This record gives sequence, structure tokens and C-alpha cells, in this order.
Amino acid sequence: MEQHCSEEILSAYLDGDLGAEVAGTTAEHLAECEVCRQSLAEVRAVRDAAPAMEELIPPDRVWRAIQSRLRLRSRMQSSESQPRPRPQPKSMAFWVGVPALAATLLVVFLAGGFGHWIRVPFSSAASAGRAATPSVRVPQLSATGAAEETAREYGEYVRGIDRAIEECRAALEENPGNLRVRAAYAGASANRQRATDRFVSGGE
Amino acid sequence: MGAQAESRAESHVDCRLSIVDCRMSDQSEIVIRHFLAAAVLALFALAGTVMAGPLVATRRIEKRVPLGGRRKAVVLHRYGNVAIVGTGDAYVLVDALVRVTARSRTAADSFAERVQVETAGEGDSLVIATVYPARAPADPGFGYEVQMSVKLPTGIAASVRNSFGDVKVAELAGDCHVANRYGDVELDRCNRCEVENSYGRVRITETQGLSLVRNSYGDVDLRLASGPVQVRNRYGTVHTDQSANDVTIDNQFGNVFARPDRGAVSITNRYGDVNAWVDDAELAALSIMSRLGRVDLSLSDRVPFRIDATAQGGRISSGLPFVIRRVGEGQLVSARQGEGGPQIDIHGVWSDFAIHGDVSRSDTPRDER
Repeated sequence: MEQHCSEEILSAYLDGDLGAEVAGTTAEHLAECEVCRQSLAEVRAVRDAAPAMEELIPPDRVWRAIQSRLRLRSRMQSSESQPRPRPQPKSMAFWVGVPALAATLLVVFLAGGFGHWIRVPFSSAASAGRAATPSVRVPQLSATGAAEETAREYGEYVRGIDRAIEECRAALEENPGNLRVRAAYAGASANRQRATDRFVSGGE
Repeated sequence: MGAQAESRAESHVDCRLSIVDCRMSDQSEIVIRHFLAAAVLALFALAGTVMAGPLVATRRIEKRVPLGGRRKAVVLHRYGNVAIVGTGDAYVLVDALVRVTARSRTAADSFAERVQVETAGEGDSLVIATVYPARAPADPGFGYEVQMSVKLPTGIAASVRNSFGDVKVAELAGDCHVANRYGDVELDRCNRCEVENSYGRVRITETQGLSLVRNSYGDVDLRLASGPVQVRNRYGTVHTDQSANDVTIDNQFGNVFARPDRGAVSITNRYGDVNAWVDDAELAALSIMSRLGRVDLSLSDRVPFRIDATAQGGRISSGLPFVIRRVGEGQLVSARQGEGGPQIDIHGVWSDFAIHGDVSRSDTPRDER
């Protein structure tokens, strides 16, 4: 290895994400190259300062919520024709089709609405303590509506991270050695990548 | 005989001289060895210094500024932590520690010398601003921050703006406004406060007046709030514990944990779970609106209450002797325990509710379908 290691390589090296051969070559290079050892120490320092930034990633519950929404949509559609709906299995068409539609919508950043809101009254009095029949507004989602909403929410989340990346990049230009800035930038960039990966994979 | 003795004495002297020579030779060698070792160490030290990377220069700036009748302090900062504490003094005391890292000692010292903390009156405010030199050396490892500590007369208002660092404010009786971006915010024993933060945690403890919190990408933690609280949060968890006044929480993509003592609590949450405990009879009301999340409500058997819960597109499970009715696409509970106590309203869309009492109770749901 004649050139110095990139930050990506060093980061992957610390994560143990490099293949055995590349990891071995990297280790040999690090043993000989003081510059790269220094870079590795910096990457490690940034990483040590970064744990708080790990919180940036939307937790799995976000993706579970999206999944449950989509499953619910299937359930509600089924309930129109069947007496007892069951959650749809995660068929390939389901996971490929809906995220693909959502991703398409994301790319063009459609500012979609929240589906249609319709008024659905309860069918009977609630209990002895309640004389009046309550009525609630129940949102109903179509497949397109669900994908639109998913894309919109994902887009908002990602735009927030993109703003962070831009701010951190500008800060890095004036203060490149500030560990807090570097940690914020590294955290935001990593979360951006993870969010994209998760969205494309349908939250799996 | 005499010649022999003389010859013997000469040889003895020679021998002594050679021993002395040998000793001198050994000493010289030791000195040389020591010298070489020192030189090698010095070279290593020099090489280490050159290769070790950044050097750190620090500089302390201290200021004592009279308020001059002004009622507000504005702190403008960017890199580093800010700590503000209210004191009984009539002056504003600023203690700033400038820390610069660079590969060149000269560059670090020079930059540290040019960082300034400016104080100036502007209207009824005293502005305390950290001013950084416009140009930093072209050094990829060049970095700087200022750890700022400010002591304020406790009665005045404070406004803090920071970007890359934490902000802590304590014991301030005046209004407090904090805007931060990439760091945590902590307010302790303050009066009215307003916090806008992103990418960090917000912790507020023992506030007296109204607390307004807007946060994104981080958690919010409220403890022992005496005044009313309003929280708007995204992508983080909200905790509120032992609040004694009205609490309003609007959260998305995060969980909410609420254990209020008094006042009315209103929680709106989307894409997250709500966990609430009602174990104080002085609580006025609890209202939960949930969309695509789970609601977990714990009710003490010592506290009277009335509960109305509707779950549209969701299920209600309860270990309490409630009748759960199925109504349309949802389920509904309407019940009371004793007389008086807080009114609990839960409304969910595509949310499941779990309502349970003390841990010792059976948790078998009674569904009526």
C-alpha cells in the first residue's frame, strides 16, 4: 500500500468491516506509516466523541411504524371483503413495490397530504356511563396515500439531516480540527447513509 | 637488590598508571554512552513531537463587567461549551478558556491570542460575544474552541446562542432563552425558559415558570417542573417526571414517558409509544392522542379516576375489571374507579392500548366482542 489510508478505510478498519486481506494489508501499512497511525488516532478520537450523535438515526420503531401502517392498510382493504382480516405476509411484491413507489415519490419530493379523512361513527353506545354515541375522525389510507406519507415523512427526516451535514461541512471549513464538529459531521453522514439503506430495504 | 627494588617500584607505578588509564577509559566510555543515549532520546522526543501531530495552546480570558442597569445578558458563542450560573453578585463575570490545536506552536499561540471575548451594551442588553479570527491557518488538523463560563446576577434574563457545544444554565431567576444546535442543553433551577435545540439532549430540572422546549433529533428530559411545560419534539424520547403543573407534549417518532404529580397532562404522539403512570390523586387530567403507536397506561388502585378510551383500528387490553367493547373498527373503554380524581382520555388511531393496574393484579384482558 503506497498511498495513505483514507478515512473511510480507517473507519471500516476500526469497525472490522474490511475483508481479511485488506485488513491485513491495512494493518501492515499502519505498522509502518506514522501518518496513517496518526489519522487512525484521529478517527478513533472523533468516534469517541461521537456516541451522542448515534441518536440521530431514527430508531427502528420508525420503520416498524411504517411497516405496521402498510400492513394495516392491507388489513383494512381486506376487511372490506373478508370477515376477519389477517396481516399480509411480507411478499416480495409488497416490499419491492411499496418502497419503490415511496422512493420514487421521495426523489421528486412530493409534498403529499395525509390521505383522506372521513367521519366514521361508532355503531353503538359505549357503555352505561355514556349516553351519547361518540364519533371519531378516522384517517383512511390508500396504497398511494401510505407511500406518499411515508415518503414525505422520510423526506422531512432526511432534509433535517442534510441541513446538519451542510452546517457541519461549513463549520469544518473554518474549524477542521474541532472534534465536536467532526463528530457531528461524521454522525450526520453515517445516519444519512443508514436512513437511505433502511428506507430502500423497507425497514428490514 | 636496590636496582631490583627500584625496578619493581617502577613497574608497580606503571601498573597503577595503567589501571588509572583503564579507569579513565571506562569513565569516558560511560560518559559517551550517556551522551549518545541522551542524544537518541532527544531525537526520539523531537521526532515524536513532530509526528505526534497537534500541539495545544490555551489562553484564559477573564472579565468583570458592570451591568449598568441592563436587565438582560446575551451570550453569542459558536464552538465550545457555555455554562451560565446566577449569583448574588452585581457584576457579570466571564471566564473563557481558549483552546487551539495546531501542528505548529506558533500558529496555535497566534490564533489563541487573537480570539476575543467582546462585551458591549446594546439597548437594555449586555452582549457577550466570542469573536474568532477571520482566517485560520491552512492546516487540516487546526481546531479551536472556547469553554465559556459566565456568572450573572440571578435576577436578570439570559439569552444564549451556541452551535457546537453544550449549554448549561443554573439558578437563574430571570427568563432564559437557549438556542443550540449540536450539543446538549441543561437547565437547572431556572425560572421561565425557552429552549430550541437540535441534535442533542435537553434536560430541564426544577423550573419555576413556563418551560417551552422545541427539540429535534434528541431526547427531552423534564424533572420536577413546577411551572407549566410545553414540549415539541421529533425523533427523540420525552421523559417528564413529577411535574406539578400543566404539561403538553407533542412528539413524533419517539417514545413518551410521563409520570405527572399534578396539573393537566396532554400528550400527542405519532409513530412512537406513550407510557404514562397515574399514581397521584392530585393529577387533574391526562389526555393522550396516539397515532400508530402503543399506549401503556398504569393506574394505581389507590387513586380514583374516570377513563374514556377509544382505539380506532387498534386493540385495548386491560388487567383491570373494565368492559372492553368492540365498536366498529375499534374498541372502547369507559369506566371509573372511586369518586373524583383525574379524568383520563385516550384516543388512538391504529394504536393499541394496554391499561393495567398494580403489578400484583391479574393482567388477563376481558374482551367483549
